[in-house]
Amino acid sequence: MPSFAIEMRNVTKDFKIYHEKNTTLKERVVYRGRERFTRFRAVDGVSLEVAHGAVVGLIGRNGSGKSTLLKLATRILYPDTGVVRVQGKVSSLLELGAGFHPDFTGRENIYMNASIMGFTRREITRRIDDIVAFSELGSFIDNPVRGYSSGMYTRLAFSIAINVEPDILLLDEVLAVGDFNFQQKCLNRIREFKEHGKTIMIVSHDLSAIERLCDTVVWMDSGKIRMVGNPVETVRSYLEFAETHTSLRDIDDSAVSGNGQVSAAIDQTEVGNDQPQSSDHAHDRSPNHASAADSLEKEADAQQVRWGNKSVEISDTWLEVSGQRAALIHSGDPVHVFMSYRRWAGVTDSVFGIGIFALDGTQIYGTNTFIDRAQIGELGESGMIRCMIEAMNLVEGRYWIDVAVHHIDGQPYDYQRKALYFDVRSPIKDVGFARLPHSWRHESG
Amino acid sequence: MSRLFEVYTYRQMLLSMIRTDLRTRYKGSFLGFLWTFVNPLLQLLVYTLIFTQILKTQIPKYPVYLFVGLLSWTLFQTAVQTGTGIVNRQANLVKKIYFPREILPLAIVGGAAVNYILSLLVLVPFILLEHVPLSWPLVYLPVILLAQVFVSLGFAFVFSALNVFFRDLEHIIGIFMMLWFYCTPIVYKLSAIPPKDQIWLDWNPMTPITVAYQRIFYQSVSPSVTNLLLVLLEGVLMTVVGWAVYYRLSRRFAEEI
Repeated sequence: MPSFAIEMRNVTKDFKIYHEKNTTLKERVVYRGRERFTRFRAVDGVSLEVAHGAVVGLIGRNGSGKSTLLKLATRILYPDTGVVRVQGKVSSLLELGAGFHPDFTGRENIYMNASIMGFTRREITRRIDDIVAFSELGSFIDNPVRGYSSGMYTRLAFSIAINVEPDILLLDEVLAVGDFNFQQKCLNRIREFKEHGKTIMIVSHDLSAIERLCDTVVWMDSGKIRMVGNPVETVRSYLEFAETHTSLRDIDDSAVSGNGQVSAAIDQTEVGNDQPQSSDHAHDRSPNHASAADSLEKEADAQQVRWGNKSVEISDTWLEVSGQRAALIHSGDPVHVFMSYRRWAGVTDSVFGIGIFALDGTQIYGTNTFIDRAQIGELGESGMIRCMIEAMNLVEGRYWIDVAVHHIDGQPYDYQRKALYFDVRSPIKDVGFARLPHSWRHESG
Repeated sequence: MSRLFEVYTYRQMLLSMIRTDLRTRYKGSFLGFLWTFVNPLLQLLVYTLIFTQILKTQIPKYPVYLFVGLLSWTLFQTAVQTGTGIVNRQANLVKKIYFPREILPLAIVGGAAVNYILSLLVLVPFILLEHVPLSWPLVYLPVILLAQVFVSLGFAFVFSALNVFFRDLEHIIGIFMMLWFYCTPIVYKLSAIPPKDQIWLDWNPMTPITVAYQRIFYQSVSPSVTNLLLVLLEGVLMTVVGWAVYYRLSRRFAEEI
């Protein structure tokens, strides 16, 4: 038995983007050979091996080919060239509730839906109690799904896909279902899956979920695999790339007409997946965020991003949460900011500092070892300085950090603007920059 | 062969699609499932009026003769006509979920066959009321039905797959089926066609099938075994070829619809 659950060899998939599609006989005859379409390479020579029991996340911009890759793995689409091999029973959730019949009850739809995934009546009957319990629908399970709220609908769909116990589970942008509790439950179930050695492939814009769940993250860009690696590093590289290319992307989408059409059409094919949750996507909002911040950022970018005489050099900067490198932080997490340095000349009285900025350039906080009267002593040849933040009480959003080392009189050795970006996620949607530790009380009278 | 096995593992889907089709067909109507029985009776009434009152047909016990052919035609017509559009109608499923695509036309033909069997509940009492004796040639019924299912499947496979690429097919098929209806000895007897012209009807696999039904139900004689086996063979062949065509084209369904 081959050791891979999913194996792709040099897979290519083209789509025809029709400007005017001739589907009727008359059009086919009359406009024969004059169909106007652009070939769009959605997946371009991808080779990928997913071992049994691996949890793989696919990330990338809209239209980068992640969903297409997933559809190739499920055999909804077939590659133009290359080979796709899949071992084991696949349950895929590309759209919640595809195949639901509105007039049937929840229970009947469980049978319908699971049968579409290739399960027999007996197998379904064995699991139906788990499915019903997981969905938390209670007595609603015997009502027609026509009357369900969208939350109930998605809960039912998710419960089916996740409880039928496939060997391989493929999820496309469906992590953001239901309320917070249900999401946690789904994530737990996926973790259990993982423990049972099942293979999972997830497409999501929810990078923090990807980072927490996956063993490996694949970053797709323009139909190609740009990076495969451990979640933290890949997500971080992607975030940095996405940040520096936001402006590029804007040009992509609107200015260049030919390309613009293509990417618009591809976005459309993804709308089906994105629509139900689109308001939840941090990603969908980020372009707006970014464009507001764009002009400011360009100004900042125009400025020198690194200066100093390099008597002391900050060679790397990173964040750690409970001993693990992270690019995504949950509001309130204790965060350590690490700066590794090399000293190239004899210096005394060095001061290290950090500054945290919002995307629009507003400084949220800044401090250094001198202000804090921290005793760091004299520097060796090389070493590490860490700033331990007890609780990163920032509201949800993206931030960057400036790091610097300079002489006590202000002469800069190494100042790095935007040394790194990080994202803060939070279940509480408060506003502003920082969450001031607080509580509420009502005193009547 | 491996396709057959895969379809077999999805048998539950096939069954539940057939059941859904039967359950939802008359959903919301007052008579509901009764339409399965009322519909052919009303059709029978219309044709009987035209052919006995206006066209003065000479066929004895004409309603029985007509009803036998009409019911088998309904099976064929439903299978081919609704089968043609099935992939397009289930676009949502095809684009979002993997399953052996063959299930779709199979479910339509299966549903039509189940519907036919149910309509026997009307046909048999009707035949008895008209004092036509029913006897042992009825044992041929399963074989005739099987041959018809194979023939229908062959067409359903090919048409449903082609319709993904040429949507007109769905509309052309309606008028085509009407022509086909009159090329099949349902309202008239095959003997009414001069022998030299009968060659024009030979291509039609529905002719031996309809004649066989009429022989067992209306004339109470056994059908020509050679003809029956020939059409059965023809049906199996059509299904195999249709299946192959369908399977080949089905790989592009998700991106074309």
